[in-house]
Amino acid sequence: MKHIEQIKSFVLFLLVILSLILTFSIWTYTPNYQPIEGSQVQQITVGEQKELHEVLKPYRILAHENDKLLGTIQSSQIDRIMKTMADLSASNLIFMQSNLSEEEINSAIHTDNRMTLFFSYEVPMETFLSVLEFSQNDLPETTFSHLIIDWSEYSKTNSIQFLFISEENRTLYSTDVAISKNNFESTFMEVVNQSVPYTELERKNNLSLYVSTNPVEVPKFTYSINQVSPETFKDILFKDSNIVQKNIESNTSTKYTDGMAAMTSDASTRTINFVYPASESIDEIKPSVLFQDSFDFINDHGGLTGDYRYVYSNVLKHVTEYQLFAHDLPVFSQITSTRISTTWGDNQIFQYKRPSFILDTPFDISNQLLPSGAEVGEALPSIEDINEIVLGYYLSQEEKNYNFVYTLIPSWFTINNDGSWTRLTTESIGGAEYGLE
Amino acid sequence: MDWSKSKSIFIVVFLILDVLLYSLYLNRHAEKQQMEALGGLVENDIEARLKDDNITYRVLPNNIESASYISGKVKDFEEDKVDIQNAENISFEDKSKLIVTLKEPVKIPNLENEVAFNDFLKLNVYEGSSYRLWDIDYESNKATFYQQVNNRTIYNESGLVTIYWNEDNEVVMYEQTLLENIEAYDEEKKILKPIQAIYTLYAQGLINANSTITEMRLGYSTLVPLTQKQVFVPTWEVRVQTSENEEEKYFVNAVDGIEVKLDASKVEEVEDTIEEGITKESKLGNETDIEKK
Repeated sequence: MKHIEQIKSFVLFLLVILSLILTFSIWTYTPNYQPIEGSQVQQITVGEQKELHEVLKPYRILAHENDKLLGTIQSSQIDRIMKTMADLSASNLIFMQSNLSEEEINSAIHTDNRMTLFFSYEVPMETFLSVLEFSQNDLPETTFSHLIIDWSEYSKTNSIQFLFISEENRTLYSTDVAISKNNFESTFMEVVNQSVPYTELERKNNLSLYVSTNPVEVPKFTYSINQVSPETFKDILFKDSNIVQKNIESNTSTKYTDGMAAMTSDASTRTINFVYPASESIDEIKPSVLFQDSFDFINDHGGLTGDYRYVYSNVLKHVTEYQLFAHDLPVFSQITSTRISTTWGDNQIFQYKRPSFILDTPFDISNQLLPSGAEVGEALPSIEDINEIVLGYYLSQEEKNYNFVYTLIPSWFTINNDGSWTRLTTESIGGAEYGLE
Repeated sequence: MDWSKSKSIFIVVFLILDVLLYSLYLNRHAEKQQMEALGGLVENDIEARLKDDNITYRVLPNNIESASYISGKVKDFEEDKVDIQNAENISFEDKSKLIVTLKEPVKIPNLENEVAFNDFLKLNVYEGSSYRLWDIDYESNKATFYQQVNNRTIYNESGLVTIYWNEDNEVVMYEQTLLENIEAYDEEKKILKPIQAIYTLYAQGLINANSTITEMRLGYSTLVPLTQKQVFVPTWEVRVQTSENEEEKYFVNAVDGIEVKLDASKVEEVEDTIEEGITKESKLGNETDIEKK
């Protein structure tokens, strides 16, 4: 019993040491997890990020009030409506009719106390949720190309009716939207007041065309342009830009590759074309999902470097296209591309084509008088086989010596049924009469 | 006495503390093992699935964990002449393809023997020892060889030798493309395990039930072959013997785990898509003068 105290001391000492060791080992214990690769936090951008409703804009508003046809293409008016719409909430979306005929669509548009927003291409209903709130959560998977706002019952119900017409599917859906008197007057009535007279060009068994009744004065712009360097796109688009090899194919064409993807940059047209062949896919995809994927892909790197608006989609081929607009008008060109086009693949981009130039600052502005749309319609040999007559800008290089200068020449265009465009030169439509060159 | 009592108390207290600490320590360890097991679990799962479909494989090369990308330049034979012996006629196609007709045909002693082919290349073809036999086509009397770097094959038309022989088993002509300045990038990438590569193909329905994976090799490939400077991705070559006893070859990008289609028709298709973007600019418009009616 004599040693018992010594043994106790020894055991205590051991226990103290053991607790120290354990504490230390727990403290310093860090499992060596594999670092997760590829999480690039810093996203390079080429422009500002946008909201989805900024690319979902109509190109024309047409109103029918007191038996008069009025219209506008001004962005400020279009924005006024889109902005108000964002604060409204609609009731349930109700299916009204299918198999709409051309006549039915035409008469729906030119009914009194109505306003029609013309969209360039079918907008998926679910995508439109980001603009207008609905009381129901799951909207039918449908699309629309014309949004008609009807206020004929407004004085009685204090609400207006939205009619969604799809030119492609020939369907009609409707919903009721409550709106305060103030808001109604300052938005819809104000837009009507700001609109100019329009003429309907009727066509047999076809949708009518709508053009301005009076000659229009449109500014012509000369722009100095900026360019996003292909190297920046290389850093954005390739998974690991360090392994990318650059090939100079000719004076104007440069090709980049990392073995899995290729990017071609054309210096003369100022365009970029990126392809990621391995992700090619023709799997079925919902139109709203396709649009969202495409928009997010471009917007994540701030790729909407101008007033680009959604104008085309091919759901089967996964294609989505955005058209450049400048000063309210679409821009068309033969020397470069004015469209961003994406082809979605297997959960990632398959092809991405776009202009690399940015319209920077206009340094020369002069007004030009263009003939009225009605006159253009009359001068055309036929208006049966076209899709639309629109005012637009023809982008060209007037000063051959200064290749960083682009000129936007206001012109009338016809949009053909296959999506291509034709510029109507003004010389022969009464050029002298309007004092044009 | 008092000190003895307090010692006892301390011993008990420290005992409890140590037990607690030890259990904490064990917990940490278990967590780590669980994390590690996650990866393994998936692998076991794959193995089980493959087994269910009676897909078997021989020993897989499990010792390769990382590889780097490589780049190379297509040799311009027309510009950068090489000395070729025993040539009757030398011509070029697209600058990079050398077509040689032999003055004196060279006999291949044994068409069944790979070594005989490799010997021919070593002795008769420029840089012939850097190629490896890929395929022998007895019906049309030709054999193809892919270029190799560090014993890894580059599955690519830009590093290819094709030889043709006559009825007397004599090589009369060959075609050659060559990659030069082959360099490896510094950064090593972690690569897919062979079993994961097999699963990629299996998940896409490319490997059918009752097949056997006969061979897997790590090589390099590119999906963008028509540039001068090219980048090659570490790629698993998977040879599969189907239940009908046919041999199929598949390729899987060993970094991203994507199946890559390298057969000629597909490559052309890809090139077309790329070219399309350059030539066919998005619907160009045109101008019309409209006559006044």
